[in-house]
Amino acid sequence: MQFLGVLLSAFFAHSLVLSGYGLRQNVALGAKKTHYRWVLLCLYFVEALILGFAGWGFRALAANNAMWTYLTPLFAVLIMSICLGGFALLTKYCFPEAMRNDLSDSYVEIGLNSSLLALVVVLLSYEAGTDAVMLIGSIICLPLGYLAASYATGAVLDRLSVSNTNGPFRFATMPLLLLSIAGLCLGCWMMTF
Amino acid sequence: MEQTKKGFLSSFLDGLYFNNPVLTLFLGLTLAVLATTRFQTALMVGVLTLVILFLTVLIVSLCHSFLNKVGATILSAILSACFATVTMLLLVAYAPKLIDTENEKAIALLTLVPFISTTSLVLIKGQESLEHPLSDNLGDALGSGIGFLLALVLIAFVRELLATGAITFTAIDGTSSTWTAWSGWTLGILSQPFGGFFLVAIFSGIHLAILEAKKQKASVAKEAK
Repeated sequence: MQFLGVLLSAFFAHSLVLSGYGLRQNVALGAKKTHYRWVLLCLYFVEALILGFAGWGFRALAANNAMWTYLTPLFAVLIMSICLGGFALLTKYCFPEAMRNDLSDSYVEIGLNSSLLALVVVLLSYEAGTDAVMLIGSIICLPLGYLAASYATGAVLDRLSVSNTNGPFRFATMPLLLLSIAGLCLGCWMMTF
Repeated sequence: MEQTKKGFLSSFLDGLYFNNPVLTLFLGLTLAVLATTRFQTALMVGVLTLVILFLTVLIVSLCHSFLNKVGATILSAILSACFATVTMLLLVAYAPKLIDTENEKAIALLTLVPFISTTSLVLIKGQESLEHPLSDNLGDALGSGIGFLLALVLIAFVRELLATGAITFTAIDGTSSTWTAWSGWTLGILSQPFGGFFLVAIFSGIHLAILEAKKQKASVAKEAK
C-alpha cells in the first residue's frame, strides 16, 4: 500500500516534470521525431535506477562522513559518464546503422541528464527517517513518473508544433507547453489540499 | 570537426539577447523554475552558472582537437560537476550561515548548486564549443551566461514581489533584511512550481514576440528598398 502511494505521488503530485526538474530533456524524450524513442526511455530508466541506488550508497557513506554529501553530485556525474560511454559503445557495435543515426542527436543529452534525475532522487528522497520501502519506491517510481509525464507533455508539444501557425502570436510551441505544464501543476497542487 | 567563425561581439550579443538561453532556447529551465522563488537565490545561481559555464567552455575549447561530440559533452559534465562541488565546499567553508538549512531566510544553494552541473545550458554550450573558434566560444559563453543571469533575475524579481509583496536579502552572517513594496494582497501561489512555469512562459512569449516583430520590420524595410 505504501509502495502504491509512492507510485501514485510520483505519477502526479511529485512528478519531476511538474516539479520543474528535467524539463529540457523531457522534450527530447517525449517528442515523436525520434523513431527509437523506446531505447532512450530504457536508457533513461536503467541509468536512473543505477544512479538512484548508487545515491543511496553515497547517503549511507554521508551518514559517517559529511564530505560525501558534497561529493555525491560529482560521483553521480562520473557514474553516469561511465554508463553513457557504455551505451555509446553498445550503439556503435551492436545497433543497426539506421537506429544509430536516429539516436545520435538525442542520446548524449538524455544520457547525461539522467544524472539530473539521480540527483533529484538523492536530494529529495533521502530524508532522515525515510524507511527502505519508501526509498526503493522513490528510486523506481520517480523515473517512471517522469517518463509518464514526459510522454504526456511530449504529445502536447507535438500537437502544438503541428498547429504552430494557428497558435497565439509567438506563444506557440514552448511557451504554450510551459503554460500547459503550469496548468497541470496548479491542478496537482490543488489536489494536495 | 570543421569550425565556423562568427566573431566575439556577434557571439556575445547572440547569446545575450537574440538566442537568450532561457527566453529563446529554453536551456536551463530546471534552474529557471527552481531558483527564481527568491531574487537573491536567482542572482547567486545566475552568477555561479556564468562562472562555471565560462570555465567549462574555455577548457573544452582548448581541448577541442582531442574531443568528439560525446567526449565534449562528458567532459563538460565532469568539469561542471567538479566546479559545482568546489563551489559547495567554498560555501560551506566561508558562508555557512547563508546556506544554513535551519534558517528560514537562508538560501537553498546547497540544493540548487548540484543542478548547475547537469543543466542543459552548460552541456549544450560545451558540446557546441567544438564547432567554433575559442574567441567565439568565449563570447558566446559570456553572453549566454549574462543573458541567463538577467533572465533569472528578472523572473525572480517579479515572482518574489508578486508572491510575497517584498524582496528579502540574507547577509553572509545569516541576518536578513526585507524591502517591502506593498502589504495586503499577494499571489502566494507564484512561489509554487506553477509560478515558475507561468512566468517563464510569459516572459519567453514576450521576448519571442519582440524578436519576431523586429524580424518582420526588417524584412518589410528590405522589401521596400
